[in-house]
Amino acid sequence: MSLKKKALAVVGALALASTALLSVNTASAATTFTTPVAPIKGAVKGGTVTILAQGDFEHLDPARNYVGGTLDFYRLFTRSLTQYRTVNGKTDLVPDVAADLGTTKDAGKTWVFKLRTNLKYEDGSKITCADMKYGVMRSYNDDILDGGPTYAKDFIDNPTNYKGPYTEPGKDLPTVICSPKGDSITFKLSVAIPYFPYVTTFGAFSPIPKAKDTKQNYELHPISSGPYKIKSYERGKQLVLVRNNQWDAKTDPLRWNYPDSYVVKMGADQNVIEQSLISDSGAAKTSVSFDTNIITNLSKVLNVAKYKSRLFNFDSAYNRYYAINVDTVKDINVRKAIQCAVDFKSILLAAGGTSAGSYANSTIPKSIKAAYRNFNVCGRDVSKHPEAQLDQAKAFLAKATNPKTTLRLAYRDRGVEPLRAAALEQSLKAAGFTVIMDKYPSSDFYAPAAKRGVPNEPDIIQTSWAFDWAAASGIVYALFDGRSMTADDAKSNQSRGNFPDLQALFAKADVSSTAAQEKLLGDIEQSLIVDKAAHVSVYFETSHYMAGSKVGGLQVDGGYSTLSVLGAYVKK
Amino acid sequence: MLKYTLRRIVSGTLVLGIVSAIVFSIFYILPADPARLACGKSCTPELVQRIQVALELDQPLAVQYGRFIKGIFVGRTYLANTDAARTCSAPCLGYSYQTDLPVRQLLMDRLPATLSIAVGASILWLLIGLSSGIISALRRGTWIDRTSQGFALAAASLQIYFVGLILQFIFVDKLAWLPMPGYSSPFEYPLDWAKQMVLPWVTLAFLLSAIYSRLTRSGMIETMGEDFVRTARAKGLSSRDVNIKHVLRAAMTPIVTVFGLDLGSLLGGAVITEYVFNIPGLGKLATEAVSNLDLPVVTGTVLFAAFFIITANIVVDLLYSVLDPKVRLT
Amino acid sequence: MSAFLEVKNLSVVFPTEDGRVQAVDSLSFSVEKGKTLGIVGESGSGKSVTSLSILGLQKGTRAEVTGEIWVDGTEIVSANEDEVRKLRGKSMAMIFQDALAALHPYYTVGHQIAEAYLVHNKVSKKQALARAVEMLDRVGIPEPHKRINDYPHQFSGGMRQRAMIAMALSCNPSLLIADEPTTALDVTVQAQILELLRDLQKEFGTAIILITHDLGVVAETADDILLMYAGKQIEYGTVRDVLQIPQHPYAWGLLTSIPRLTGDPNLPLTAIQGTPPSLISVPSGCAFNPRCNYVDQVGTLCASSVPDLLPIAQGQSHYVRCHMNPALRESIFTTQVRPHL
Repeated sequence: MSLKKKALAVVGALALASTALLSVNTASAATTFTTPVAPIKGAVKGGTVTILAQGDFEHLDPARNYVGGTLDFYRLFTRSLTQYRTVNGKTDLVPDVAADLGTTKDAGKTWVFKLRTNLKYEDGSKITCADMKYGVMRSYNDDILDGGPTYAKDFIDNPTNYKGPYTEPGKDLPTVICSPKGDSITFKLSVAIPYFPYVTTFGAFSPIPKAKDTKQNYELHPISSGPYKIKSYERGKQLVLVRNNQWDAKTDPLRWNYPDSYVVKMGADQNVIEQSLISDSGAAKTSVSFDTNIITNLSKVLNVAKYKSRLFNFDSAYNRYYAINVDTVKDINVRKAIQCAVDFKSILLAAGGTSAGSYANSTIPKSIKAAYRNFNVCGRDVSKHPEAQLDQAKAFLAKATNPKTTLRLAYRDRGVEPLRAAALEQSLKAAGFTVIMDKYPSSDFYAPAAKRGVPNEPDIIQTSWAFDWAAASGIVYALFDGRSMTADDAKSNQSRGNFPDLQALFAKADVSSTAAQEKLLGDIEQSLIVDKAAHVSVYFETSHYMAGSKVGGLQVDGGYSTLSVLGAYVKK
Repeated sequence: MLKYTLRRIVSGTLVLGIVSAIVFSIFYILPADPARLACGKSCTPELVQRIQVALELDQPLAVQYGRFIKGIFVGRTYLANTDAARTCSAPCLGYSYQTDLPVRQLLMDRLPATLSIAVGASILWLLIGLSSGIISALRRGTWIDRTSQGFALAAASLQIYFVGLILQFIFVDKLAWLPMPGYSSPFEYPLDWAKQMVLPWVTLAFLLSAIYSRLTRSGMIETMGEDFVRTARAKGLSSRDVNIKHVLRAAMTPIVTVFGLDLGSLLGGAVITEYVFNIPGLGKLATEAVSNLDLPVVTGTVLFAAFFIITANIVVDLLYSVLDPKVRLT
Repeated sequence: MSAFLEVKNLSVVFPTEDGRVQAVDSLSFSVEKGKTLGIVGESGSGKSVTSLSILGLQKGTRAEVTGEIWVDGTEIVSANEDEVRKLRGKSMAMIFQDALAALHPYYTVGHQIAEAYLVHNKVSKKQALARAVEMLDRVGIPEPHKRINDYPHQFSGGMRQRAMIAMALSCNPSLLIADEPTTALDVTVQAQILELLRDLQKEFGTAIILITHDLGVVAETADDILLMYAGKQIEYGTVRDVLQIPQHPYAWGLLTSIPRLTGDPNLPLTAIQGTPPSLISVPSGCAFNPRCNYVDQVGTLCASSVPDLLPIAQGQSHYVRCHMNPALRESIFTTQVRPHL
């Protein structure tokens, strides 16, 4: 259920020249997003929404929060520079503490965000630019504030090798600059990041009052800037949110505030929460869970009329795919043979069947409309013909000039991953390959599988990706950009692709406007899959979340691909 | 009687001590590193080291056990004389490796669900078991007797997970007469509580009432042949009075004993029932703790269960002396 | 006037897996108020079955009871359970052999006596307990107001039997059936209990059926004797008649097996040869014939036909069931039996 994963590898290679001033959302004027979000039809104020959780939040400290459901939830009391707003299934990036979506005059190397100047914390004190800057600065102390994404540290230029306010108390971070009036904040990046306004949705770009910073204990009571504040928090047991009267709805473009309180009850196990929600008894009527996918009891509720209005089925951000190592599988026909031999059907079946996921030709989800392409894989629409194309696979293998029929398949020993690997092994064997199954321990997989030029280097890597922000830039740069590799480490580019024609497209994308960039990134992915046969996306995991019958206003959040509780209300 | 009770309490406490020592030793020799388990996902060797110190796992087993026992009686302070000192008041059962919550609190949180199952089910199985056993005994050899005893034999040989899942399939999934079993607070949502408890109650009662029915029937029939029953009839008592005041009264004593022990072990956690129906009670807590190798919670649940069983034993023995005047406790 | 208890042609049959067992066969006798009938026989002769039939305690069991039992004008065999239940304890009561087993182990003695009184009397529990104290006092239990709170196991054997008597007499029954009331007791206590029964009978005019295998007890206590063998009455008459001029070889056997102070110490005691018959396979003809020393006297008749119960002489109330004619019996008694008495 976690969106959490490795942070992007160092993106130094992205540094490139700029052309024009970019506006992330080309279609809409920024003013549209600074006005309050429209009320949810039928929603009423009052009551308590209960959130059932298996365990405690890993971290509620904004700088350390990196888990899908929590990233949605913590917005109830944490505002960040920018944020996603989802209304009626449409998701936009909106300015949150910022007053606009940022401007750059150097193609993304320097970003200036105007700030709202009328925001307050729960104690009534003003949210200042200095607090925004301090929030960024403390994220540099990720030795103490561990667990979060490291984008701020990775992207912002750090000429003085700043190590964070706990390590170096008196020192400044000169590349984050507040205007004299405090009504704008400037970020000087080490390289041009055209998609930087997406990055500023993360918690490192949240205001933290320095005087209230309690370091690793800050997460026990983050000072609220949102519509709710923490009333009590017993770790592992219960979190209670109540209204924050200092928050002003007029200043907020994305948050609703219907219930009088939210209570997070922690510590029940998967099955208990599933059954509790299905039963719709007692407090479960006004409950929802965003860390518990309905798994065990799915067959009982899926497609059953009485549960329909309470069951939310949607693609998560998680794409399961196979990277084909172009370093070791050099012949394009062998790669195409592998691609054709992938039996989407048996692999998804191993993971739980069509209720567990939906077939995908692409690792860019359909919801990222600007980049998604509806291309065929091995000449067929995979959603209609998910079976392996063995004849074609054999034909490609016969055509190979540099045949390689023994393949080493790397996979992780966790959950259903061995089952999926076994399913692939079967269809590869049927296509005429010999397969060496290479199981890695769950805790140590990504780094060893990415080692280049080592003995037993895998030919196929069974892995997955969930985008960190809802754009192709959050996927294609991480997974397919050859510039991120070193001679012995493929980083997250597990297919080791570094094709000159595609790298030229990356270079072009680097300096393009967001819309054009997204389109180019879509081109790159299509080419990598269709022309280079270096990647096989298999499916997006489907999430099945459930809510009690008395909870309204829930929706799938496009920013975090999770069930959002921002608009939740208790039905009368 | 008082002396006897005190002596039983002392010996019961000793048994608890032995139980805890055994559980403690078993986990100590298991090839599982509690510090590594408590460390979580982003773990470093330094963190493991810190946790070992924090959990006092660097101490010898005897010292750990001694502190654990001390914690139960007078409380204990972890990492005393440091910034991270944390006091756990008596009776202290330690902190969960998994959630870092006090084990005592976890047990208390789970007790109401188990209590709901145990009390509700026991009332049901006593009602069904005793009445069917009595009817069977009084109508011995008739079709009612044969039907109910045949049913009891079949029921007693079935398993909770089988009956439970079948009933759930029928009444929850197919007919939708009942909600998914679970636990809601009986004080806030009495109706939902009852509805969700119906299946666990019925399932447990189904199996146990079969046993009680057979016990009652054989006890009654045996007692009916006793001379004192003939005496009661010779006095001119109505057959109702004879059966209830004389036959049942005498047949009840062994049933009370069995019932006390059954209830005691149920209170320690209706493990299978809670597991089958996913009810967050003590039994479920125990199975979760075992699968997570959460030693303090395992120890806590085992001790808690042992406590209930030992208490039930003492209560049953005391009750026995009340029920049977021939028994004198010394 | 008819007797308080009149039994006519009483038969009790138990259907068992091994066949029908005739526990009691055509029994007839009567007991008047203030009188005592001793029923004597070995184990399995039908004594206890008879007494249970009189109390109607075989109703609702598999036993098939036929004949007539008249108790104070009510016919027990044909009456329904409720009618008989009202008589039980009130008009007729019973004292059982093993008082420890016959008293409920979990109730106090006082409670059990009071319970018997409460069934038939509309009184408060307190009054019933007062009655229990009174009865315990009457049967000679010291400090009865304390002992009512004792449980049966806290009483000695004799006291338990007294308590049983107190319970049986609590409603002043007109008929008391005492089933081996003294068997389990030592001799001095035995005598006290019999004495007590006699006193109570005098006081209340109770009719008593004393069931025993001990002719000595009967001799001391009873007015009439009914001798039973294998479910049948084989001799019936006054104590005087039956003990002075016993008619049946079985009676002779019983009498000669009793040691006497007046007897010749050099003569050996004669026991009755053989063992009592099993009711499942009763010997044909006279059930006693395999054990009888005088079978030869009447040829093969004993083994082939059952003798009728007849008065020893016209107009006599002394009955016997034997194929030997009165003269022959008298000569055998005089020559072979009397010297041993």
